[in-house]
Amino acid sequence: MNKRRTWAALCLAVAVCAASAPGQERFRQKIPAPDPQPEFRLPRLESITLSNGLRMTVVFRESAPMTSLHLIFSCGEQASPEKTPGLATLAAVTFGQGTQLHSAAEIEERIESIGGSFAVSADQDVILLGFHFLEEHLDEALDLIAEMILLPLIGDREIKIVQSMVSSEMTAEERDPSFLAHRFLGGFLFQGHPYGKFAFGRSGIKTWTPRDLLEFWDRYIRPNNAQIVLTGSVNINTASRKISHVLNTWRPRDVTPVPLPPPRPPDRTRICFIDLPQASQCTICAGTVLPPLVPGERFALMALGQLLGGSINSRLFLNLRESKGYAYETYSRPEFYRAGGAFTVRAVVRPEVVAASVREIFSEIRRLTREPVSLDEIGAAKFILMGGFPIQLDRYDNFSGYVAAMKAAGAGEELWSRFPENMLEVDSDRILQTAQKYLSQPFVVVIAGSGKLCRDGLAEFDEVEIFDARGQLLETIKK
Amino acid sequence: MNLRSVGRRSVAAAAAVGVLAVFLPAQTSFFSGLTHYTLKNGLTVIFHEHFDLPVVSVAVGYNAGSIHEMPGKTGVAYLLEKLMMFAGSANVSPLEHISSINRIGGTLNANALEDQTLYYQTIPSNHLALALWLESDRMRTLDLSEEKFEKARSDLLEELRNRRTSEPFLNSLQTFDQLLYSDFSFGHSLLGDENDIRNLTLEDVKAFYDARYVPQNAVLCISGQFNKTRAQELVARYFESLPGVKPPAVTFETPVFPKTPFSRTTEDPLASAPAVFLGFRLSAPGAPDSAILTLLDFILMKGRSARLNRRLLNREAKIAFQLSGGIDRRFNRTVYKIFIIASLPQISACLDAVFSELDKIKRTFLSETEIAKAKTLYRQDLFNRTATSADWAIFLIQSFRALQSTGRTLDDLVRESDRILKVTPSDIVAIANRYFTLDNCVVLQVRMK
Repeated sequence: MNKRRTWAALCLAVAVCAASAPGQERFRQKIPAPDPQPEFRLPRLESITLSNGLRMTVVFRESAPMTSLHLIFSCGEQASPEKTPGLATLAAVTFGQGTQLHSAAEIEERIESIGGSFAVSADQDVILLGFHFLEEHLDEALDLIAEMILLPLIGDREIKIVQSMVSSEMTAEERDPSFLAHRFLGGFLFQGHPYGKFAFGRSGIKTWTPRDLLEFWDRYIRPNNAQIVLTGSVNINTASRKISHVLNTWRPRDVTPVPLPPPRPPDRTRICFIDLPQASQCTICAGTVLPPLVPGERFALMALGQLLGGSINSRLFLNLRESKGYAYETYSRPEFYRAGGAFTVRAVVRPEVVAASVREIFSEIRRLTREPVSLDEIGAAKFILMGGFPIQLDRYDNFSGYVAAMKAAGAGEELWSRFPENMLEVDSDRILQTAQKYLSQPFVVVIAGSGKLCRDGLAEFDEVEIFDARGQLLETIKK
Repeated sequence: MNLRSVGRRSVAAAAAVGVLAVFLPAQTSFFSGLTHYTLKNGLTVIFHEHFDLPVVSVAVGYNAGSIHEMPGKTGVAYLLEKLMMFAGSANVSPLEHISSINRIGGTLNANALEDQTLYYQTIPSNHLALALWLESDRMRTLDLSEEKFEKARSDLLEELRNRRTSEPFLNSLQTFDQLLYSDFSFGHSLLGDENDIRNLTLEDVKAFYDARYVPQNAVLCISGQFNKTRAQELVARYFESLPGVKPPAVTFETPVFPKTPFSRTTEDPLASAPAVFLGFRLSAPGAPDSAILTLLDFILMKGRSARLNRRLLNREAKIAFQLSGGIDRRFNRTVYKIFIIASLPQISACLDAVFSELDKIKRTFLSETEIAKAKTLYRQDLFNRTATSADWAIFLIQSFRALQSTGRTLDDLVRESDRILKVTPSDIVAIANRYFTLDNCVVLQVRMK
């Protein structure tokens, strides 16, 4: 009897020991399973077109303390005349430079008095104004926007101020290898296409005159060439009534868009080097052109960007950083414009391994075009994109910025309420087909780094075009 | 375990305050959805529920910053932040914390400060258990080894060398902090001293971790969309059995500062223009006048049209290239810092401009419009500091610490915020005259070499 009891006690002790490592409960040993996924319902996008042709999208967010207003004009750098590149940027910056009634300082003061912040930008397709303010100041914010649109201050003095601002910004950009490499890549990929005008340089800004800007403004800053995206604690009826009221004198005009042919892929692989003598690391930016896509390809390209270089579990990260120890960081993503886009890869590497890193990048891209991706890997990429979707909307200005970017690209519910289901539909076949269709094209590679430190690596390429930080071709070296 | 709600009880008080009655209910509802409690082992838990998106953030703040370091052991708080991110723990392999969060589309980060270190992640809300599991594991048993320690130390030394040889004004900022705070705990740099870091041992790091990375020294905050009952269950599961170790008692005596103007000059080989640091020692955070000081900060330096910004960065006057600063709170000390990079060879023009603006504030009542604008900017700043679930979690942990250092709790959060909105022009005049005096000012001028 006693013996049996001892055995029972011993068995119990063994069972307890097997159940958990010394000093810890069993549940600590395993990654916990997720709870059931909650229903994910995004707020509705409600749209209306006002009588002057201004399109509006309103996203009602209950109790939001801040309201965001984005104003989108379909006249990005592609619309800048050939003789005055950068005019879209000039127009964008002019919005913040005062009006016929108020100086720039007074405008700043008014923005601050409503708890506001204001930013402008111009990309290939659009000019974008982002205005965020305390929700109770919607009326003041709309008055201000109306004044900026209807009574711009355009003169020699204002143009000079903007030229000086843009020039200072370019000086800062010329010290940033990542920015520079990406900008050059855009210029090389879209050379000869209207999108290539986005990479305008210093010579461009010298050509600006008030007359050019007035013509541009008169032609493009029109309600029928614009969209407003408003997110916050305001409904579409109130918003449209208030916006109609302040912008009722804004007249439409026929706007003939600049023809946008489908961009063509590079005809050969090019290696371009930007010599930045101070750079201790090398930034590699590689990319190819995407023509206008067929439905579903956008999501396949997003998954491709993710599994190639979107996270620390991605192929480039594991290869270039974890396995080879070449890179400090790696990244890849598709960029979508209204007519096509680009698929780009970025890596920051040690100068002595620049050539080896480019070879590895190409090898990983080739692998995507030749071998089907496993279901596990696709699943992981999709999981990251779907999980990250609401997280990227967590901040109020990112939320409104996402809707604005979607509208600017002419996209709709497919990138909003149908985002998760569209992403779920991406499968191995579609990934392979999309990779074969677009990633088999020639790539342009831009490397920004110190010529002195990268000399040995560059010698390994058949041909390298060397540029200075302002885009001047210095020489072409051949093996 | 007693759950306490914050935010609703102030409604009655708000209604009683005539002029602010219109605004206060909104402010109160802004802080709604907030509860907090303490586990038996001393871990403070804060829940902040908001249901806009299926996203949740989990943040843990440890009372473990550079002010808790001992002489000769500087840099250990910052080094430990790196190890917490990458080293792994008993059940989590190195980098697994990062990759697990990454794999579900989440984001994560850490932030070592002078008085605390924060770790936080934002994830899809159904993965709350994962974040709590990861955080509890590294709170319980960080996997420290000589190899990981050496790697983290060599990375830190490299970072220190790179920053000290490339960041203008970094060394002079450290000198300024030493002058302004005057004691070792508050005056030394979070980055640590190169010699100290070289002499650190794995045992030093373990000792700091064992003493300070304990439940009683930590605040856990969950913010976003989650089920409170489920969250309570998970917190109990992963944290309640962690041993309740009492962290070492630390008292920080505030030195008695001489009431005389103090000015010194230093050289910075990396400076491309002359610069000046100004510092004023203020009352402890949470003292009755801290609300007034907060608003004064908005009047002086926050926003492009703030007094000092307009005076110094004015396009026509061109006195300065850059102006930054504001209130710097470290546990139980508060100072006001102003840093100016001058655009003229003499920095006296900058100093004159600062003192002339301060004089105006001391002598003249601000207009209601200017006070109203400062309050608007304060609210905008509050909304921006709480713009995401992670921002909310960090804000609540920091508010908890600031309130705790003056013997209060999160229940006082609404009241504290409301006090700022009740500041009057005469409050500003009084506070400016009390603190922004030459006798209470430390100046460090920085020359180019």
